[in-house]
Amino acid sequence: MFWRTVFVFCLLSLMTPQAVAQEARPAGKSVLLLVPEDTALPAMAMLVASLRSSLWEAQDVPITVDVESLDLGWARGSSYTQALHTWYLAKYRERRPDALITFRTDAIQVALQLRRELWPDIPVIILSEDERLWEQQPRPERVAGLWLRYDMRATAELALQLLPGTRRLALINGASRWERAQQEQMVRELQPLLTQRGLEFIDLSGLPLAELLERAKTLPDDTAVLTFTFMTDPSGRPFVGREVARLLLAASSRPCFALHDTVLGGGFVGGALVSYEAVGQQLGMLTARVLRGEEGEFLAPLKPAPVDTLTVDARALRRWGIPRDRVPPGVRLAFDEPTLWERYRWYVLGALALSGLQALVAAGLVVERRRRMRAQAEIIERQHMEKLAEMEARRTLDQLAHVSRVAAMGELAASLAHELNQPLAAILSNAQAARRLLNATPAELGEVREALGDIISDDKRAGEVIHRMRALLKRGEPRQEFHSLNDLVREVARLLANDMQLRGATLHLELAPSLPAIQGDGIQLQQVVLNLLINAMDAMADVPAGQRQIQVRTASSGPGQVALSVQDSGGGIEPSRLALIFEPFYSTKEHGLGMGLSISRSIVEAHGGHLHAESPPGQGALLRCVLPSAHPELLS
Amino acid sequence: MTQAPATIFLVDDDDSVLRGLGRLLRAAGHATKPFASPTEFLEQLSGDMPGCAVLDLRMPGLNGLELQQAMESKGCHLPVIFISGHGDVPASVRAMKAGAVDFLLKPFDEQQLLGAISQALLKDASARAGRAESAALQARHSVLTPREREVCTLVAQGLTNKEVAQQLGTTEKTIKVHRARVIQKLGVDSVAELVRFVDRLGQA
Repeated sequence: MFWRTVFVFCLLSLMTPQAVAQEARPAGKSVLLLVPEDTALPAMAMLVASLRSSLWEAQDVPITVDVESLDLGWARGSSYTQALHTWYLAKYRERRPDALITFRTDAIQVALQLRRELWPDIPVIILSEDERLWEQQPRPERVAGLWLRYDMRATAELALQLLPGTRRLALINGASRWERAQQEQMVRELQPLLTQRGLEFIDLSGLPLAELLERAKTLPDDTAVLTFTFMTDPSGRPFVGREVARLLLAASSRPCFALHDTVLGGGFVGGALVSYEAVGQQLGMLTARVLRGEEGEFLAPLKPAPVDTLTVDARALRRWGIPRDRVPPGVRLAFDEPTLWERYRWYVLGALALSGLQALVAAGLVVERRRRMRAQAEIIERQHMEKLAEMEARRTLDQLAHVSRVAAMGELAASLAHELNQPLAAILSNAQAARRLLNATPAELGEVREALGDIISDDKRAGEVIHRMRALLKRGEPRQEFHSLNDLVREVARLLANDMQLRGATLHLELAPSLPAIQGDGIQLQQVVLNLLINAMDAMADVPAGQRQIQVRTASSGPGQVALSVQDSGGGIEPSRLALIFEPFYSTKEHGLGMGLSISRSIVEAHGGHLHAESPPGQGALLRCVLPSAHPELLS
Repeated sequence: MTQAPATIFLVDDDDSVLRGLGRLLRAAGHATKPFASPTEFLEQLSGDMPGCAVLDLRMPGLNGLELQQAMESKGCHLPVIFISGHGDVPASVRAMKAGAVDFLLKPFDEQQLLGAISQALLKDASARAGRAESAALQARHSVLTPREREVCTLVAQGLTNKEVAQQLGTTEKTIKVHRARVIQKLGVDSVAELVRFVDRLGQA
């Protein structure tokens, strides 16, 4: 039945090939490409795509390319071949191809047989890796072809040049019939090299994948690994060569070399890499010539196709520490990525130059603008700037004043602690006494009442100390309020009372009975009084304990002015130093900051007044502060 | 301590502290006498007052340490407790070296204060008793003639009559008479007791 059909079909096609073809399809030609393995394998896919585009470029008419996978790696036996025939007969009954393209020895055999039985007159274009095919007798007719060499010998020599210490060559190959055949051929090719160099050969072909990877892990140090393909394992399972290569490269303890450019970049060091793009292109060009009817080619012997190039992966060289100068001349260096600097040097330099220019321009603009601004400021904004400067100065003064206040309070810390502990001690004693008095029989309630009264007043006293302290330590926006100079003096005197006592100084207050109010920041004004009093105490450190006297006077001084003077009984100030003592950081004290008087003068001046020092002979130092009064009315 | 009423002398320039302290000590059963200034206290010091003194360390005019020295120089042996509102280590060390019973930082607890006071009173009582005993011993000793004192001292040193006689250039018989008179005047029964008497006299 089958053979009869084939016969009839062949007869029909021989008798009226044109008629059948023309009836079956419109103008244009078709070729059938028989791929020996899975068409989706990267090398195959590349080849098919390249063949297709090459054909389309070479022919004016559209060419249909039908691709069939023969799956020869795992499908075998005569029944399979028969089934293929049946299948193609059914499939291509209505569209006989104008040419048959195939490659690889085993697939070529299948194709020739198919043609003999289905379309005996169509040309076959082949790509063979076995040059002996052409020597076969009788020679198949209407066959054009190319000889594709997988150059394992050249690959091995490249490996030996890159790795001069190599003593062993390992060869990895798959287990299919075709791969086994290739293995024999490669070993044959390698044999002279092995003998000549005295190398050991490690056969890693035909192993199951797991075992192959295991072996690859433990290869001796002086081994170079050559890989051909791994399409099929011993059980016939098909693999994708590129995936196997990935696993192999991860496992291998030694550098690996390959023959297919589809695996380039995965980590192989290099090899005589066959470019399937080039193969497809050459095959396409040859097919186009055959389709145009160039008969002469059919009898021409197969020629080696220059599709393999010795190639080395520069990244793999770095990874294995192989010096670049070992790469022989004429070998292509792939992935020889220049460093970022090398690649972008001119961009970078250009960018730098550009940004330098920009900076220059910008600087020029800035200078120009500043000049203009300065001119404007001088002409238009002088008052504004002055105001800003004044505000800035005022702000700085506030900050400095606060710092110096904190420092002054630090000096008073011992006194303040003492002043707080006094009422606390009294409170505790009174409270504990009250408890005892209540427990007595009869309870002495009168005495308890007195104790409670004392507790309350002592508590208030402690609270006042804390309040005074906090008020002086407070930092905030300066406030403009009305103050009585006398009250400010009394407040500070209270705060300093303990310190005065400890230092053996006596404070004499001579306050004018009525004074006009002054306006300003109370805390800062108190700070001035505090500084003057502390300075006075310090000035008397060398005076015997009984003779430390401080006179503080307030007075109405001329119209619209109030005056405060602080005089000590110390040694006075040398006339040459009178001007110096208001300088910042000038201090006669060992641990002095030299800020007190300087800040006091700044505060007084910020309040519209002035502060100066005198040293009347034999009367200690006299500091005199005059402030404008806020109102003509008198305050008590 | 029990035979004469002990008084706690309080000296502090801070009025409320003085009142609170006095109230607490009286409530605890002590007799107190407050002074607002050290000079006032010094003026009222009399030679022999049982009790102790609680002195503020920092006072105008005369601080606590100076007051303590002034008391000693006036022959006042009252044990001293210092109190201070802000104690510093050098002052407390000086106070303790000068023989203070305790040094309390204000605010202090009643237990601290009462503990220090009872300790001070005990110290005062024993010092007082010691002073009384040594005064009695002195009185008895003062009855001896100069020659008898010499004999007394040498006998107490463990010398035999013969050796004493040799040192003093007289006869053993004379020494025997002196020794019998010393024993009789001091009211002791034996040479052993005489040795102990001289010993305590030397310590007092």
